[in-house]
Amino acid sequence: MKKWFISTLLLMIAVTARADLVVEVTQGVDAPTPIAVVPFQASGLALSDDIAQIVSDDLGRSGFFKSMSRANMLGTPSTQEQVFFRDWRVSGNDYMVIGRIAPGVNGQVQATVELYDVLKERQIWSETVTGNSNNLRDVAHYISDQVFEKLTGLKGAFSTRIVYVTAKMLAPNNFTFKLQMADSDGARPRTILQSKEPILSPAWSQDGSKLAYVSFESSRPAIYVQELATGQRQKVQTFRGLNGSPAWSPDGSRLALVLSKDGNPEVYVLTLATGQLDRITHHYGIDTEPTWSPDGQSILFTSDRAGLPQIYSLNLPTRELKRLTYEGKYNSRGRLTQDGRFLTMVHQDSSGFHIAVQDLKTNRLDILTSSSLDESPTIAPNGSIILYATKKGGKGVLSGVSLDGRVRFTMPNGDGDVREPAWSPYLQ
Amino acid sequence: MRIRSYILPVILALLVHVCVVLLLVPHWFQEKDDPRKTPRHIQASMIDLKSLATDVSAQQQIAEAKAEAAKKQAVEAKQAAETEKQQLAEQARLQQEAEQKQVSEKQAQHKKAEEQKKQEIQKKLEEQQVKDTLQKQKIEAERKEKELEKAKAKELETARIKKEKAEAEAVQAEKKRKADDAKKAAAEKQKKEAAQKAAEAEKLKVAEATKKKAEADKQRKAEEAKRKETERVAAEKAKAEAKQKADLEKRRQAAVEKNQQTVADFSSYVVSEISRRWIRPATARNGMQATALVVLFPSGEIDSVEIVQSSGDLGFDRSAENAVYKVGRFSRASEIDPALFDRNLRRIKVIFRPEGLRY
Repeated sequence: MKKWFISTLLLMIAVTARADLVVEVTQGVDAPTPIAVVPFQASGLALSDDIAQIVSDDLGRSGFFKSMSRANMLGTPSTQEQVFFRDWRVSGNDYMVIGRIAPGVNGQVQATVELYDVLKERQIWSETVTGNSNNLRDVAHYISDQVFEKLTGLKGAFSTRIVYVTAKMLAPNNFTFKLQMADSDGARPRTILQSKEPILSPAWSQDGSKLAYVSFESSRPAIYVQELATGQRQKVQTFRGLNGSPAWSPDGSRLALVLSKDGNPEVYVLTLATGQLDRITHHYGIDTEPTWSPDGQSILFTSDRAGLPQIYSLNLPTRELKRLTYEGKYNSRGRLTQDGRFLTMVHQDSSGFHIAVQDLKTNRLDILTSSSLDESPTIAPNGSIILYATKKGGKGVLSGVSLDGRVRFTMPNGDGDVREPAWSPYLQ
Repeated sequence: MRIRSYILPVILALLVHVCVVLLLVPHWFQEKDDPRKTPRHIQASMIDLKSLATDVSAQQQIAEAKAEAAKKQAVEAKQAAETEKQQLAEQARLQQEAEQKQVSEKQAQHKKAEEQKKQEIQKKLEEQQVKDTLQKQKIEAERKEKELEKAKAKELETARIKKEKAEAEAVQAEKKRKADDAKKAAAEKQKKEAAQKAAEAEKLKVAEATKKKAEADKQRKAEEAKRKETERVAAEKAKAEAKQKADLEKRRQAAVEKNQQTVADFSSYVVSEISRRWIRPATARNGMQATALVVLFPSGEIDSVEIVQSSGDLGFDRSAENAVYKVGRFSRASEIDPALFDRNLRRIKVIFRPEGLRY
């Protein structure tokens, strides 16, 4: 009787108890998130740029999103009332961006943008952006940044800039080298410096206001620091031998560089305010290509002190040296993501030189590119994209690859061979 | 003057009353003696018919034996009388015979004497001496014979008396013997009866004991049987209960297993449906984890999706949410028992924990 009672009680408890079913999803599709950026309505306006297209391209290039082709769109709604979410859901989109551009005062334009979650049929973000009709690309990149950030949580890097060097052979032994700066998508390039002598290793200051680079214009390699806003530049003290590979410390007060004034290339730290030079490597092997860790405590550099080029890390306060790469015969030109976790590099394997990324947490190395002459990787400030120089059709071009290797793209062809890209930090 | 006038009527009235009383008195006594009013008192005693029957037969037997004995005695008395009579007759006859013999002997003697006389006359001279002698001898012989006869008679008498006495004694003895025999027989019979009675009593006692024993045995057996029956019934009941319980448990277990299977199947289905639609974002890293609470309608349509535990990465969380929304409807939910669905499957915690990513 007692047992029956207990059984009944338990049964009742079991009947009334509601347990949440717990399931675990570990697998998924490693693909970009589908998004539709519907052409913005701009009635009565003759605009030089298609903002929606720029946004669509930006998002698509990021590796995070796959933009829907306009040709496949069933409609071009520009207001919420015109949106039939079901259509956009059926066509496989998770999100959609609609917008309308209206003329503002003083020749400006006002772009009203709305971001929707198609699945939830809910507006995520809406903003009216005012911009000059001449810099609609800035408006577009801003919108891209906002959409990116709203959907991924990461700050968008579309409004950043890239610098790179182009070399155009005018005649045998007659080259024109240009240091150029462009939008992150390679658009709107403009020349910062032009020279008949090679220009190497452009580097952004952390605030994005200055560039340091190596120029051979004075027949000897010299390091210059140039103000972007004014174009004013300053030659950093020059030493005998090699002067190269400048790298800004995160606080912008120091410059790491490579000098061979003491015999073989060594890494030095130059305090810009005082001109104090501090040699941090002491080895008969070549130590070059320094870069700062995001916290400014360490300097990573390439050294062949072990016989073959590998990447090392030197802790500045303790002077502790640590070899970071072991895989392969050649690893050089290390660059760290802003979180300090991933190290990108040029890695050589049997098929050539590729862009690779090493997870410093697990020391796993992944080769991200399949082209064979890749060099000079630089990382977008949000760590999503690695830009690098490679050869395509015998010509140097800029290409990009997402950090996970899923998305690769090639930048618009510049004038001549393009090399030595450097991605700016977030710009103010 | 006035009182005087009342005396006669009073006397008359009294007389009338006395008469009436006298008339009624016998009736009263009769009434009183009415035997019908007396309750009948019946004094009864329990009689064992069997023993009564035995007693009756025993009494009968005794009576019969007595009658038989009396008869026998009568016959024997008769016979004794007859024998006595016969003996007396014989005696008389013998006496007569003896008398006759005496007479005849006397006659013979007389004759002889006459003859002898004749002879004696004849021979009187010749044989006077001899005759005298012979006479003498004869007288002597006769005397002797007489004496002999006398003695013989006396002897006979004595013998007869003795015989009679003996016979009487014999009769007496016989009587006594018979009486003894009868007594003995009666005693034996009594003894026998007593023995029989005792035997019967013993038998009865034994029978009673046997009966009692049998009854006790029967009762014990009945109790045993009853106990066994009770035990059997209890065992059967227990068995039935156990079986019922086992069946119930089995059914419950089966139901639980079925439910578990259903839940497991549905879990797999949910995982499969979500996995197919989960776009793991570029920011996804191995070890990240977000938990979405999915609430379903019984039709399988999504009521709500809520990130209850964020991965810390907005894109990751969104991708998880979207993966669920993209399923739109978990159609198999409608095939599941509503109670089970409501209990176990309405609310699903989906943990998104990517594995096998590059980083």
